[in-house]
Amino acid sequence: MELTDFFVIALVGALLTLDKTTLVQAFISQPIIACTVIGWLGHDIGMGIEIGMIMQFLWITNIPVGAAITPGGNGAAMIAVALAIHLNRLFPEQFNLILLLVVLYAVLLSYIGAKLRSWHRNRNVFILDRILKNVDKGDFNILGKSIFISIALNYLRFFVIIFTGLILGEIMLSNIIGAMPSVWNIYAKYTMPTLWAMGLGLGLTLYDTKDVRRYILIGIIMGIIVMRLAF
Amino acid sequence: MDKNKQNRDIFKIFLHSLFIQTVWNYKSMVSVGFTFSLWAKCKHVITDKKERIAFLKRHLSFFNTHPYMASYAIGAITRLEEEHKKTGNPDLNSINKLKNALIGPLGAIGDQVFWQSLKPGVVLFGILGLLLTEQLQSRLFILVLILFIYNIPHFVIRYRGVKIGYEQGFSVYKYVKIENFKYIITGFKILGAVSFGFLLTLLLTKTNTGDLYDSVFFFIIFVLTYFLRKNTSNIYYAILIPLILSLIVGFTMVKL
Repeated sequence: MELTDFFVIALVGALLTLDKTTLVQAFISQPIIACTVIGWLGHDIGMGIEIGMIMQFLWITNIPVGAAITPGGNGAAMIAVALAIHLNRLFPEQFNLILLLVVLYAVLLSYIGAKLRSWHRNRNVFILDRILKNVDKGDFNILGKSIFISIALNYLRFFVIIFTGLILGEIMLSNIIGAMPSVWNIYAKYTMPTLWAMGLGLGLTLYDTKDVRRYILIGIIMGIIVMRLAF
Repeated sequence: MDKNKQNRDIFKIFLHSLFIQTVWNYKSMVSVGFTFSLWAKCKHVITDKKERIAFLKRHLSFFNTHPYMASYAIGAITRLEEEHKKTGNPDLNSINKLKNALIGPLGAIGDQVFWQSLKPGVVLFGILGLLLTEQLQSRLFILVLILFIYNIPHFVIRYRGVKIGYEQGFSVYKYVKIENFKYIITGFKILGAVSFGFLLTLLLTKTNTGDLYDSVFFFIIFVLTYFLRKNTSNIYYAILIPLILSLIVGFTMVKL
């Protein structure tokens, strides 16, 4: 992918990330949807869907209760999928290693994203103070203006994070993969099954209550029947 | 009031409520978005400059609850502020008390309905659907489908929240009960649990290479991640430890 592709991905990715908390929250910032869009932009929609599913599974227990800061997993997932598509073209024989590295990179970015969100919420106190000052002066349009400014600033913040994340990731990961012997791809052969098993382990924490256990069992039976019919 | 005009107003408040978290801050939480939603209607009712300043400062002070469920409070407070302006009743203290009293229940219901039932249920159903088919068109259809499954209850509850709140005023508390949302919680918990069970079978089959070690390893990671997540509040341990372990096992298997 060229620099312009990363630029376009960052523009669209920032727009999708606004849906996380800034606007609406209509599910489009979730990795399962957003990564598909990024995959489409990167001309590999299949990879977008695959990595979107995995990243969505990893963040399934992220519950933003109250003022809790959850990992910034949505933007990180978009960066991960764009880098996976890019690196897979550069090193087509190293997919396991690419997957492992982009997921680790996404985890690191999600941690940084959470810290930045905390900083951003502190910064929003200034916007609140500015609103209160202007209200005192009788400026009643300040609410609408502040909402608009906040959306613009959030968009800019997400754009910078995604674009920087893509550039840094491309430089770091392509050098790391290029420098590693190909045997590392074999060492990383368990990455995909590990990610799926992790997703299941995380998912189980949400459903290990007595009242839903029987439905898990029904699902298992349905799965066995379908698998038998399919094969 | 003209019914059409009232519906238009409710829709306008609903649209404004979609920005509730835009200026999320540690001092007043979502008060800016909350006040912005109230202002959509109240600015036409409160015309005196001093009253406007007092209104805005009162509501900008603090508000925090679940972003979707906040619509109930928005509708009710809009109605009560309107009545207060027209008749002097209810008094501002009572309005403030209701607002503060709604914070806890709305937050608790919203977390249970949306974050613990609807979202994981839709996610697991979506992943299951995507794994069951390889065809791109079918996969895109599933993605569109999960957007609908998530957003129909999402937008209906948000719109209804404003409408019920506006129509009921103080009586909104009768509607803010977990029993009124039980059918959504139960429905999506079942969807999530059945999808989870199905996924468990599907993934065990799909990742089965025929090698017993691989199946054992898959099971160990599954159990390990479950216990790590269950016993620590830090999600990063539950992700990083199994990933590092997978690399160590991969390395060991090659060396052996």
